Amino acid sequence: MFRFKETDFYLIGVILLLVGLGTLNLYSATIPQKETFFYKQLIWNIIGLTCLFLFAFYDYHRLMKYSSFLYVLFLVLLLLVLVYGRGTGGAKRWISIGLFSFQPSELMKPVMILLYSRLLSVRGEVKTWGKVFELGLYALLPALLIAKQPDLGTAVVMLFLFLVYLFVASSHLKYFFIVTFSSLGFLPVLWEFLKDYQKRRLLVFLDPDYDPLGVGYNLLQSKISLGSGGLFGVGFLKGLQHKLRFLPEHHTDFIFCVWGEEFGFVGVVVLLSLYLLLLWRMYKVALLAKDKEGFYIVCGVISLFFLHIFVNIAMTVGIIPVKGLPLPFFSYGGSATLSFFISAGLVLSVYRWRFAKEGGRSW
Amino acid sequence: MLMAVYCLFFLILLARLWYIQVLMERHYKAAAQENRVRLVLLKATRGTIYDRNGSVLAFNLPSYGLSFVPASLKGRYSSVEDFLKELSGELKIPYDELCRNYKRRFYSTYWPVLVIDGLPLTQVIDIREWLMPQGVLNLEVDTRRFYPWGEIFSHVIGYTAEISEAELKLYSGKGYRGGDHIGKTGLEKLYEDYLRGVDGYQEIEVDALGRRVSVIKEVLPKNGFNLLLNIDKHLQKVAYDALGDRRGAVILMNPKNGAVLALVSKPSYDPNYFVWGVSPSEWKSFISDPLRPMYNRAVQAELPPGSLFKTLVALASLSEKIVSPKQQFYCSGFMKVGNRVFKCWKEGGHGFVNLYRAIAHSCNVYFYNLGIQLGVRKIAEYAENCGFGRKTGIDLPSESEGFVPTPEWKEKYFKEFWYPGDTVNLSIGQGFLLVTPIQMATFVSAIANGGMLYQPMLAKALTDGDGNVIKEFSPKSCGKLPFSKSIIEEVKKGMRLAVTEGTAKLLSDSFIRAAGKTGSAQNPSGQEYAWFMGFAPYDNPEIAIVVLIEEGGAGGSAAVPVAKKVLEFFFGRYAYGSNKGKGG
Ligand SMILES: [Zn+2]
Repeated sequence: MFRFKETDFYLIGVILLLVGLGTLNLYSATIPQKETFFYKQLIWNIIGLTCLFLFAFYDYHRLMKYSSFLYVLFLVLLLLVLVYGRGTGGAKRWISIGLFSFQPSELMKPVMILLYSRLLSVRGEVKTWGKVFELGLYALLPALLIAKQPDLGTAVVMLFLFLVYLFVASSHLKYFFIVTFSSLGFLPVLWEFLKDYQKRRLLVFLDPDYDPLGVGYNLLQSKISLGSGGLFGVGFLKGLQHKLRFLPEHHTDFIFCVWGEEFGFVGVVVLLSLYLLLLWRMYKVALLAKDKEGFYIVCGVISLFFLHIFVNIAMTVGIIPVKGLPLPFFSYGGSATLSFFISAGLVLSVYRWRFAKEGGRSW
Repeated sequence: MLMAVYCLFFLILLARLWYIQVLMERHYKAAAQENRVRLVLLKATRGTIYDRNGSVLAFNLPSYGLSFVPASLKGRYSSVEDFLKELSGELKIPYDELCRNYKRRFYSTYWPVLVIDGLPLTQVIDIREWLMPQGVLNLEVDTRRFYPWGEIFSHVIGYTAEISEAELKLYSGKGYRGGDHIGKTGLEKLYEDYLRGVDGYQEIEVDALGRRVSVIKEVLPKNGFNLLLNIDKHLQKVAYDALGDRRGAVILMNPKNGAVLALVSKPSYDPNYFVWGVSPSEWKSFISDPLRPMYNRAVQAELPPGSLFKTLVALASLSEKIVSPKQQFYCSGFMKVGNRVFKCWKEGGHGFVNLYRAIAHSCNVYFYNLGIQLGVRKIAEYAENCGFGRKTGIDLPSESEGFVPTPEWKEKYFKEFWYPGDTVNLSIGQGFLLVTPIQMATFVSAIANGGMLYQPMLAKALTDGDGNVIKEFSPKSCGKLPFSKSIIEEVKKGMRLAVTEGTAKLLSDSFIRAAGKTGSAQNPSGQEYAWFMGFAPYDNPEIAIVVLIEEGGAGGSAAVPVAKKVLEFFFGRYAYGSNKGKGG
């Protein structure tokens, strides 16, 4: 069953390295709290790694057959979250089953990838506007439910996956560009649907000093953290910004600042290189994928990782408005961690199954 | 293709991180420093003020305030206004007042703002119950001045209150900050630099909620020096009470060195009232009070000296050899100068009077004669040499100069010649001449001690916290009376006679051998100003006194009883009492 050459140790190595660094970083970040974040995350990582190998050895073709069922199941769960969910600050994100609670929106991400991969591989490329709207609807439904929680960041992930698949699986790029630009034109309408605090976030993004007490405070403090790291950083466990709690949400949204302060620009380059390596290795897998199903899955996972890495860091450095997307393998959070490990497991599975038949596809 | 786009986005991130971490490093490092290092003031304790016997006249009470770090509101309140509104409702303090304090004292979002101050301890205990679970408000302990004797000493000591914006500008460079308390008037103002001390500070590391993590550096405060006064608390109180409800001033001075033992001005005010801050409307009502309680009559009032001035005319005439002490003039009750008639105060006249009797009975006609022979220029010259027309230099702010008129002045301002009648008025201390009670006190002290003019001094010494004397304010001579000792002796005889048989006869039945001169100066807007100046004991003066009562009537009946009460207390207490010898 287990064959050595069928396992992508390169990819696994990068992932393990990232998980290791992320765990150390979280250790430093959560020192002052003396809270259990660090140990909880350790347990999540172990569960995540288990999932990684489970999914790696599982035939993704079999999994894809359940994708429609899983999609409907998670839509129902998202509905239940809105009714019975719990969370902090008026937002409802978690659903509890006994002692165990999780965020369906996080696990919806790999489900969306599976669904799109199946639809596109079974029915072929997107060739008509009707198809475009059908695919769009599949993303819009969970996106709206998630936006209602409200969790705008994750909702954007759903729509982003739709655009990615439009890009890689349509007969003509016009579909991709027309949809992208018309949704940009749709933004003012979207503005009307935003809640007050969301509007304020966007406004503060334009001028962080406008409200240093409110939302601008986060951005200012994250930049101060990164900036005081300088070129080489202040050293492991020596970052003060989060220890003295100036840095808000330093174990989740702003975890990158802790790294940036302690290891400086050099450390940041190293981390970004590792992430790039991760994406690059997955890209290799995509090229070698045995079939379209595998190719589509890997494309989705690459994009999923890319979006999280980019949005998280871009928000930290103030390139885009503050949005809470977790940094893969670095941010604290159970459901998100599982989602990343499962997605990576899918890629490993694709790698394994290419040995069933040689072949690849260039794009 | 997709990977190329993703790589491009990664490059954007790297460029931005290069900008923040490498190019802007210094900027953000400084910001981080401001974040986590905070200066905490260690306020110096203001020096205590004591009277000559060590009784406390002004000291510090703890005062409590509440501060908060604006940045720490994040996540708990949507705005500072919301927080202040809740605070206002909780503490029953007007929202406007909180807002005003916040705006005035705000420095940065990471620095504590003293939003409430001057809370008494009892209220702090109530607040703590609400404050503790919040964790936003910090209790700040400061001190406030307290004056246990209230209005009795307000004209001497003054008071401290929160520094104004104008004062902050005026004293920039002296290290004052908004919210500091500063001496506003009286000794508190004059000796501010000695009393306030030097604040220290702590550089501490704090977390985002402004909580102390560690102390980086500490500079301890230097407390202010204590101020010891020449004032005698008991004497001051007796003088204050002796004036009763009347407006006026009482000054007691040691003629041998200028030490001021008591200085009273009435009506007075409670300085404690101002320490805790008064509203503009309250302040206005104080300033516009027709009785002028904020006005220190002892050093600010400029009035005609009336018959007190006859002593100076007598001295000048003896000095100029216009008259000899025994030489007699006839008083028929009036005197004609030109075509004007000037009356003596006694109808029917005093008959034949020599210098002693003229002083004792305050005969106007006698002094009209001397004044005309002296002439206005001589009188003015002597007056100026005796310290009139300029400040005595007493250690109080806003002392007045008084005024000695000259013919040139009158021509310039009235476009009129100086008439002989003006000289006649001047010779009995009426007309244009204006003096302050403190000037009369230095003058009568000089007569008592045989001619030395001393600068009146309220402060005696400065001591540090351990009681070591830092600085002694030694007596300062500011000239001599331009008269020989023997001439002064002759006038003193006249002043003694005023007590034994003259206008100050109410003092004669006392156990004190006092000498003095009464005065009743015309007041254009009411009853006369009642004056008395004197000293005792006659042979070896230990104390000089000046009493002024506005609209008091005749000096002999209004001012002399006040002087008698005070002097009898003084000698009862010091010359014959248990504290014998401390009067010096
Ligand atoms: Zn007469």
